[in-house]
Amino acid sequence: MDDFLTPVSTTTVKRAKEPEPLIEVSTKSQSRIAEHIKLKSPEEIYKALKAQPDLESVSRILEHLTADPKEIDGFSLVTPGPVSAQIVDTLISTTIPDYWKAFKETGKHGRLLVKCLRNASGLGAIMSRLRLLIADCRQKNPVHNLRDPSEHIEDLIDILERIFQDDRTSNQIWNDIRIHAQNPIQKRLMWKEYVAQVSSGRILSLVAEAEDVLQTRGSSRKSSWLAHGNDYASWLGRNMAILSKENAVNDESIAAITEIYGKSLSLGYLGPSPENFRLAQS
Amino acid sequence: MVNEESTQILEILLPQMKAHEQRKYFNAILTHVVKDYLGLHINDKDDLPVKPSLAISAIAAMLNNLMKDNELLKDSMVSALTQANLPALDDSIAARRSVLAALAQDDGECTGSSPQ
Repeated sequence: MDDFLTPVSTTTVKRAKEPEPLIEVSTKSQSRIAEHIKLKSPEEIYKALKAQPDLESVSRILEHLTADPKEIDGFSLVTPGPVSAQIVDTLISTTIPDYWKAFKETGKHGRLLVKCLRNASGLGAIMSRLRLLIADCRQKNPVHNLRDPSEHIEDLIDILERIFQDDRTSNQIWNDIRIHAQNPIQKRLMWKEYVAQVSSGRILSLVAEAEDVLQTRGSSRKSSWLAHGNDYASWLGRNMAILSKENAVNDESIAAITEIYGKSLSLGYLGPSPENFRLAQS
Repeated sequence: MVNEESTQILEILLPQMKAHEQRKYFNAILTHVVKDYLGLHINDKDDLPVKPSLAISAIAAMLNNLMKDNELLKDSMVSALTQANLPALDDSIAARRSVLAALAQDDGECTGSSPQ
């Protein structure tokens, strides 16, 4: 019986020592800032931010940006300049989409990020980015985006709400400008830019347009108060009241306050004035 | 009713603004206080002497503080009373009483410049 089956040839199969996995999870390589890099200069901070840092590194960078300017060569995000513009741009286009959802929950780093953007340059950059995202959403054939622009829009509206949530925002921004501006002309120009952004209705109309686009895309979120004229006008009125109460002490501040009073009339809501007065009574 | 410090701040700020801005803010403040504090004033049609009112006096004092050194605002109030271009004054006799009381502090406004 054994003669029936005759071996013709023999082959051996070499097996790999460990079986290779069928699916591999690909992770973006995130760099950790080496401990010895002290982030002493704005250029180092910008390079670190550009290098796709991990969560802990971003937290370190934010702490540096909001710390005493003396520690980073007297640099501050409040003062406009090429490096601060690059840092703000990277924060808005890269850091926020990557980390805002995580920062929102923890609290401290969300506050630091909002503090970095609470100035005229930050607001300007957020508004430019919002305009681009709104245009992207309106296109029928989406441009090569890995993520849905509506998520980015929601994040930016969330950040704008946090920047403006306080009635003392304008007061704080005026104090920051007074401290960090390098000369009186720069001080005037920075304040003028902030007043133009806030009192001209640009933010109101842009956020309203963004909310409209989100609703068209089927989002069921509650629309932001920044898109409602009366709520926005009341917020502006309260800001002006606190600004006047705390700063009507010298000519320079009085001129700044008068400017925002004058510009606010162009918003078209005379509601702010009574709110202003009512708050001033308390 | 009104914090004195707040009117002092407005007394400093109002003259710094342009003419039309001053008028707009002043009219808005007047409209608001009339709505809030004189809204429930009943207009008596009887020919009895008008009763004094604390709210009217307070508003008159506030308006006087705001326009005491400001000819522009006084002229604006005189023309609002005579030409009926401010709805807040047209609807409320109490409001007109307040404004007249504020203007009456300055004799020149009442007798010299207002048209009959």
